[in-house]
Amino acid sequence: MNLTLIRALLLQRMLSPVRICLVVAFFLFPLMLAAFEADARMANMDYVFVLILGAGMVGQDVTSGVLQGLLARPVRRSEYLVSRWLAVALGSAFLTLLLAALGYLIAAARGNAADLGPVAVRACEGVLTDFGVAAVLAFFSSWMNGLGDLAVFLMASLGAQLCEGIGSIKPAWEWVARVGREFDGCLSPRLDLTQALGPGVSAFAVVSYFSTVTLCLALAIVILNRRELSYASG
Amino acid sequence: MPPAEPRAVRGSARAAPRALLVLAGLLLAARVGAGIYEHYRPPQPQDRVEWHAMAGAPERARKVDRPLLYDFSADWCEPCRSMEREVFDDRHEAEVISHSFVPVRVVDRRREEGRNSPAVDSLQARFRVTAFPTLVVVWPRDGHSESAVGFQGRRETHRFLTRALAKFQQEKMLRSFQGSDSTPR
Repeated sequence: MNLTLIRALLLQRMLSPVRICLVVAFFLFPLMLAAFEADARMANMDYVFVLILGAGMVGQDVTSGVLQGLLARPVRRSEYLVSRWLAVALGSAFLTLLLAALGYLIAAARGNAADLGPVAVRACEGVLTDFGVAAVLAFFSSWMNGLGDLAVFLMASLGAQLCEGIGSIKPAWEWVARVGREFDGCLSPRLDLTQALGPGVSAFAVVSYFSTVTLCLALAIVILNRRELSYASG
Repeated sequence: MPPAEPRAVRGSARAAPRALLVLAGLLLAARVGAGIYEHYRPPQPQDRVEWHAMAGAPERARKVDRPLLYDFSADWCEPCRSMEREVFDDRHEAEVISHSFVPVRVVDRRREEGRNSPAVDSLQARFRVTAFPTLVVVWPRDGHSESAVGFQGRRETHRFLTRALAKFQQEKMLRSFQGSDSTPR
């Protein structure tokens, strides 16, 4: 972990007008719903901030030539990748928690607040999802240039949804839906804290989450270590 | 991007973090093991639906303009447990149910206690409940209802709920077009 690299990514993102506009739009939309909807329910923004902040987290540095210059300095590739992942995850987690807190305050102001406990659990689950999806995006970004990681992620998500849709047409095709669900679970690792902390704890769910995150990071580092970067690219 | 602080790197800049690789391998093995174990011994199901109390549920449904969903069940009813496992334990289904309906569970206690509370009896009589589980979707305004008797599997239950919800939304839209929408806000 390298604090300078973490700060650098967050600064890079804050200086990108497109990303800032997207963050603001996706941040305000659920708050407006909470403020104006009869039932004051927040729309679930899920891991959208990870996609906005994380798209091209490694690939864009390769395309722009920044990574080649950076790796001429005494920085390990693994350190670089873990710092990028942490920066994206921490930035998204901050936005997720802030959004949950503001949404709760708006609902409370309208006299329609849910219990704080479930809201806090949901926010923590959102943070874990942010860390998970950031790891998956880091994996895609380690072998795709530019914003290719986002394109691959979205196409893979679409494929998983399609499988689920096809699998629900006929009972005999249930296995296709199952494949789609599992694939979707790998793309967006989640940890259900209600289940993980409750009586019906599923060891598989808990281990799966951490396994996906560590596996994606490990593979991303291996791929980045094997990658030959041309200093004449870009 | 500001450059990283220069400092000495021990070993190769491409050194693989062994601890992470070992951890990833161990977790992958644990994942496979846990998957096989839970295939044969699934964890206890957990009801994730945010059920409302019977009293006050119709008022709540009118206030938020969502249909009521009554789940008539009994503790001894095995298909009711299957429905809990496959539908109410499923996060996605539970969220749809909790957010699109005002769900109310009505548990029959005749076998255990000899009789039901008057409120349960009255609801069972009103919707002619003869078997468990029975799901009844009720429009909050005009009392129109749709029922599904027995548990036909997750897919059929999902279809029933989606159809009932779509019908309700259509009617709601029609109402607002006709200008008769007087939903309390």
